[in-house]
Amino acid sequence: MAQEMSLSSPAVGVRIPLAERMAAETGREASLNRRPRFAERAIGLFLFACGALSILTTVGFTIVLGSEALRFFATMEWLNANKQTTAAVTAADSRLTVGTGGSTIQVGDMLRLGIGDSAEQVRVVEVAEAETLVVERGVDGTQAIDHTVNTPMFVGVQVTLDKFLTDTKWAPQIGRFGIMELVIPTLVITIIAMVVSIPLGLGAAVYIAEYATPRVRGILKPILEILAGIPTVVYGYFALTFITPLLQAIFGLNVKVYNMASAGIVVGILIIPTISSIGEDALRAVPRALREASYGLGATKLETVYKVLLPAALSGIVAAVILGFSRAVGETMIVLIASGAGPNLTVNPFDSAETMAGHIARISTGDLSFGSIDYNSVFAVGLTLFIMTLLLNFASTLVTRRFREVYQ
Amino acid sequence: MVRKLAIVVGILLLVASFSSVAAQDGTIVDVAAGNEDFSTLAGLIQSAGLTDALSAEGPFTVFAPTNEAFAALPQPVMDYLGTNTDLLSQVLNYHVVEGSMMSGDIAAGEVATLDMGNTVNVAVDDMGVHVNNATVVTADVAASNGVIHAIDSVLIPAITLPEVDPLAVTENIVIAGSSTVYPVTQRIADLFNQDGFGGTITVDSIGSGAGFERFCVNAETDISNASRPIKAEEVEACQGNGRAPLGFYIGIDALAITVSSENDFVDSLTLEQLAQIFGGGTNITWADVNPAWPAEPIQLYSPGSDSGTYDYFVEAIFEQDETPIQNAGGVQFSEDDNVLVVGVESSPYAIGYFGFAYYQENKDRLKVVSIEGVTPSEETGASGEYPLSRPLFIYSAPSIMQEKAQVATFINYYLQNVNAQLGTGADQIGYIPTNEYIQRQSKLYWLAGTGAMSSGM
Amino acid sequence: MSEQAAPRILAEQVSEQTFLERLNARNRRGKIGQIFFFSANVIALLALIVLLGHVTNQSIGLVILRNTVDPASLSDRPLEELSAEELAAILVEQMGGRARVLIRDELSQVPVNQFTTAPMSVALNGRSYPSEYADATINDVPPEGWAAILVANFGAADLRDMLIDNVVKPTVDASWPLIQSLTQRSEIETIAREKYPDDILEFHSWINLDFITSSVSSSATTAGLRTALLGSFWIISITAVTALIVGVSAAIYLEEYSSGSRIEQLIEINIRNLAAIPSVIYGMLGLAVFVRTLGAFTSGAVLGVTDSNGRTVMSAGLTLALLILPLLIVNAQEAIRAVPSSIREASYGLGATKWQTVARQVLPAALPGILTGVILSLSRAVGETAPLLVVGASTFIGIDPNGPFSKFTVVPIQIFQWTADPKPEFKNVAAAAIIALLIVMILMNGTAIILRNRLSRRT
Repeated sequence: MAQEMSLSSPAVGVRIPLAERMAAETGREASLNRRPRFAERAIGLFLFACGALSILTTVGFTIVLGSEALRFFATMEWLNANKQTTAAVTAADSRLTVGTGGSTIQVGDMLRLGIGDSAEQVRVVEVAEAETLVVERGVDGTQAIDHTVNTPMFVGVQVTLDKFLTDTKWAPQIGRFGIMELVIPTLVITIIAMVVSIPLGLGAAVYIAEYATPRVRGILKPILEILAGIPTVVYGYFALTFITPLLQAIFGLNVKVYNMASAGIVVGILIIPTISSIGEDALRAVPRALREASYGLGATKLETVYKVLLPAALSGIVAAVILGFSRAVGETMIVLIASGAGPNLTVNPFDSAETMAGHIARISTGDLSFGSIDYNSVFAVGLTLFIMTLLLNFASTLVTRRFREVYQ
Repeated sequence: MVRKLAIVVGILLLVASFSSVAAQDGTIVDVAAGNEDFSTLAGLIQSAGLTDALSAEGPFTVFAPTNEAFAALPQPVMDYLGTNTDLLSQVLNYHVVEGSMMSGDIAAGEVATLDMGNTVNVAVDDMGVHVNNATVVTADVAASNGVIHAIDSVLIPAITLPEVDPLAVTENIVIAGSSTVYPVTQRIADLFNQDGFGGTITVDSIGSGAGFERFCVNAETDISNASRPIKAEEVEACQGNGRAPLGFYIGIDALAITVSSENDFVDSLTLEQLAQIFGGGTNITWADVNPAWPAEPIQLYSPGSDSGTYDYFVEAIFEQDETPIQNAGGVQFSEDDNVLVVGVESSPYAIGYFGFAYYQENKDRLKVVSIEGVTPSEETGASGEYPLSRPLFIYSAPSIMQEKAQVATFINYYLQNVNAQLGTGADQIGYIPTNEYIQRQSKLYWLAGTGAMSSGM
Repeated sequence: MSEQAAPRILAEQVSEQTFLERLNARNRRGKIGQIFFFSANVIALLALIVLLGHVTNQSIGLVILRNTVDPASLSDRPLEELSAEELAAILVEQMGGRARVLIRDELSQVPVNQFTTAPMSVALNGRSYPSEYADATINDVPPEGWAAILVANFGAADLRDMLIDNVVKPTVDASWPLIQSLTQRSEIETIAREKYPDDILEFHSWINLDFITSSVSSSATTAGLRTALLGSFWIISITAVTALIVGVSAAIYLEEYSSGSRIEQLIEINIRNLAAIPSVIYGMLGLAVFVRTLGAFTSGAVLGVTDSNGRTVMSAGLTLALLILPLLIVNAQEAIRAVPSSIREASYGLGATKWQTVARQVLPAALPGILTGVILSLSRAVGETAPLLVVGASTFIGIDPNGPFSKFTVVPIQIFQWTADPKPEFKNVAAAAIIALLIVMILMNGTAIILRNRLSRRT
């Protein structure tokens, strides 16, 4: 400030062009050309970099999930056969003697002998007896090498997209990778949540936007915000220790202690605020003229809401519902705590089952070692979930666009 | 009566064998060196400098561990015995008894050995002759100056570990692994802290498999809890990181198969029935297993695939083939045993399995099932009569124990205090204490792990 | 259809009575509609009340306490009547060598690794101790000496507390929620008399100062939240610093510098998309990027920290920072957008550069809004659980985190852990932790609101 003042003071009364004045003061030829401001440029670049970090995050998501999932589909998954060689094998042998027990080996199976970089892969040509295998040595670019007795063996499983989408069992330990066993319960819980949250969320939105006096609105909105701000682990606790016993008291013993219904109901409560706040915005965006026209024609408030406002705000409301749906699909802690800990292909809401997000969290709890079958398969689940929510989000953006175009 | 008979038989055998002893011309050392079952022993006798002593007139009775018995000792222990000849000769002397005792005239009881008169316990039952925890596999190999009985494990004399003062120890200890062993390690860690340990201990309950992953592959942990022995591929990974795994046998678990206390139809199951139940799940009903039981789907609760309990169960029930249990309908898998307890408790048609301690903790809400007619308990678990009893371990490695004094001290403290914490008493953790001989083995491993030259024997 | 129907309705002659009836019916329906819409709010409110009530109900109530050592067996007189000397003697007699630990924890002036080797004059420098032990280490001091040291430093009341914490050690046998405790008191007393004749029945608030200040434990009475609270604190600090710098910068760029080019539009859309990605997926990103790929940095290995892996406070904080960035950027953008453009134009008119305008005019004006957004996003981060589970929070650690490279647990994960415990009293402990967490969140949100109000009044 002080500098600017002193700069302007000689200007009073006498009009000297700026360039000359600066030349006089600094003793240098002044130019009015743009001076390069490196600091400004650097700051601008830094700010841009921060903005671009979001792109980087998305790229990160794509690379991380994509590459891990690609590895999952492109390379073979090795399942521990729980078997060892029972005699040493030289590089030339084509017969392996193996222990009984462990996985059943069939003709055509790929086996890996040993771990790490030195591991050799073989293809089973013939199962001579239960304990003797005839194999083709050193397949898939590996070298036939000597193996000591008790070399651990692994069975290779090639996961295809087709099997991933159509198999009905998710059991990575035995090479079954049917994502549907996780997707179906995810949808069941999400639908229960939507059944709870759509009427309540929209009802709350309509009331706050159309009926409530400013004072009542001032009370109701913070309450809904608090509901949205409660940590999900608290909701999970609530589901397990309050809703589940309640359901068991009403429906009896066929309600399992970990069940989808209680998780779904509580997820529904969790997303009421999401739907109500976006729904309210959509209702408020409907021009006043439409309401007044409706009242002018003698419609009651309810009729105005049903026949004028809701249709007019439909795209916004649909967007709200889609966002709520997307939130329910990705909700983790509530389902992890309340809905069960094992994949289960069921639509019975009183059964235990596991959602995609819940499965990811359970498998990763505590530990997830790189390269293990759990690690790779969890990333495939993550990618599926990521794509689902991205599509839902995209749909919501499309719908919102339309809704913006109508009244601007 | 039986005893008299044994004496008579003994005398007869003594007479019969006397001639054969006299007929041998090689000494015990020669016989051992000449028999390929005893080549390890022969080598050790030589490096301990006991050749002369055992070639003396005697006569001696030698309980000779076979090569397989020595191979069962971890490599670090063999290395340690190889460098510490005092200890080695003590151990070897502990296998030698004065006088020539043929298998027939062996009487049960304490028998003094050449190791400063420390005694071995000899017992005879219908399974054969037992010396401490070893069993005689080949009796009466005669030599000119005595007799050799081959035994299936190495005898270890009583060992006193150095006294521990946790107050004088600091720095951190990182532990992870089995959820079954977790309560024991956690308890010992609590006591160690209460006794003044100045550092910090973390114990993560993540399952035996994940524990070894951290211990061997990532080399992040100092101690790995395990409810199963380490696997071949895990040892390989460990050695890649310069860690030679050393397992300390700290207790016995009688794996508890439990149902809800509301379940009034299941009391006992056979192993086949268990396989049927855990390979079926909601795909079958209880009536499919036994027509007298209700036609309700079976709800299964199992530890997750990272846990040693799961591995053990799959091994014991399904011969290591995971397919049946993974294919069973609606199995709930959790690494958190508490989730299993809550699940099993919740329905009369639920069944689950986990460590005995978790059953003990919750026994008012759960019912334990007898297997093959045997109820899991301290006695049946310790004797091995209960078919699903298994050892519990903590693993470390000499490189860690020698580099980190706090780890060696903690394991020492662990071995000295763990038995008092195990049992069915009010404040005890519901596993079964190990017997004296297993403790001696763990103590020897500790000496080997720390490389302590001053053996406290 | 409607074209055919419409004239018919128009043509219909309606008597006044029918009209009134229909009007009434419509109004009635309108009323019912209003009641429905209102009740949606009531149900939401009810859910909130039930949830909070349920948690509160679990966190206070009657408990039956069983003493590990019966106080009556320690002395033939009540503990309250004993002198400091008698109490110290009992302590030493009961605790044996552990009395040294008590002295170290309560009195030592030297690092723990020097305590056993330092003479008392150093170890207890500035504390009182019998002068004859000045040159002795703690192991040279006889047990009577330990008692004397305790008496020299503590009064009878302190020693009695130590005796109860270390020797009597009450544990919970049974517990009841608040409502039952109030309504069925007599039944509970009967149960207590019959099933636990030797035990104490008392009213216990699970949330109390000890609970906040003590560390985790396998016993419900001594379990505390300190480790988790500190873990949350460390992680949120890292999240706050990172997210604040990056988020506000990004918002400034998008609002002030952006020329609306393709890439900038892409950034805008992208940020909105990121906001909708499930938090557990962020956890996977954190696991792959911070824990694994950048493990050398997040474990502190490049700074010479050796006893850690990538599952650190640092990784967790950065993961949460990524998670809240979209929310924070959108909030900050709105705050910056709300600054009138006249302020900017005035600044430019005076010859200020762009950055001068932003730093001296726009940011100060937008600060209240930005801060509110930051605090609200951080309050979300405090409650996050799933991404931290994936990143690798320890489920049970007794170490207080002491820096960015420590292992950690956080309050929500501690709650998750306690929720899963089959011992019923841990439900109470979990409820107490939930109350603590909710208080922290309410404090944060309250600060945000106050800050917003105060700062907005000033500008």
